[in-house]
Amino acid sequence: MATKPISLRVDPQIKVQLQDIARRFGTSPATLGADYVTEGVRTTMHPSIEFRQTPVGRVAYVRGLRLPVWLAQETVEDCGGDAEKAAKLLRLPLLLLKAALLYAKAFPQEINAVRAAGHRPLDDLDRLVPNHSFLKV
Amino acid sequence: MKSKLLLDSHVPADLASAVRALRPEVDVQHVSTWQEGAYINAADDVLPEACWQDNRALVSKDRATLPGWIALRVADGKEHGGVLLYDLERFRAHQIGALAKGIVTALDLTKGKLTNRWITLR
Repeated sequence: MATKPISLRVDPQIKVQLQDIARRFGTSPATLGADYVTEGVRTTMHPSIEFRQTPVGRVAYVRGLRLPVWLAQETVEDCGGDAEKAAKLLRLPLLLLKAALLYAKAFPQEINAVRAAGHRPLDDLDRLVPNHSFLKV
Repeated sequence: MKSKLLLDSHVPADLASAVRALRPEVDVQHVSTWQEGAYINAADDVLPEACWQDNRALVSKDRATLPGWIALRVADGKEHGGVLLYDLERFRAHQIGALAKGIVTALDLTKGKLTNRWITLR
């Protein structure tokens, strides 16, 4: 996606902290700053969403819950598109679930990217996780 | 020793009662109610620690981030309470009975000893 530059002035301490966090995440302060601005704009537009740092990067979650948006979306699909049924399965307020679906619809590329990681071949787990075994049931 | 399981937020809460119906002796909780909901919004590195402290295995289908979290935990020299991951293509969200049977099979085969083990149900 094409990007456009903007100029920002921040407190010197914030700049140092941004540089520290960027180093820890293995990215540049400019990229991380742009991510934070993007997330700030998105969470203002979609207040039912929050972002979390994960081993596959920043991921959108349903606010206040350990529920990634992509898994909320998959649950609805598993229920044949019936959001009410999915909300009952997850013990989630229906409107909160629908708000997560709106976010997924607004940013399909972002959601599909993490979803692809969630559908990585199961055999990969043998290479990633110590003491792993499969059980066919 | 009594087996203890924790169902993560994306796992249907009714799975707890389905597992209990098959194995009443298993202590199975959903994260939304476990310890009065204290972990409902817990960070992904916090929950495995809480499970480890309580000798409880985590039930999840999140193969996007969970492998990375467990790998980081292992890299820090820490152990974990065990993971039962199920294949989200094999077990759809509403297939609670089939998933409960799968979990019980895993508990039977391991005699409930899941500490530091990761079993993927497929």
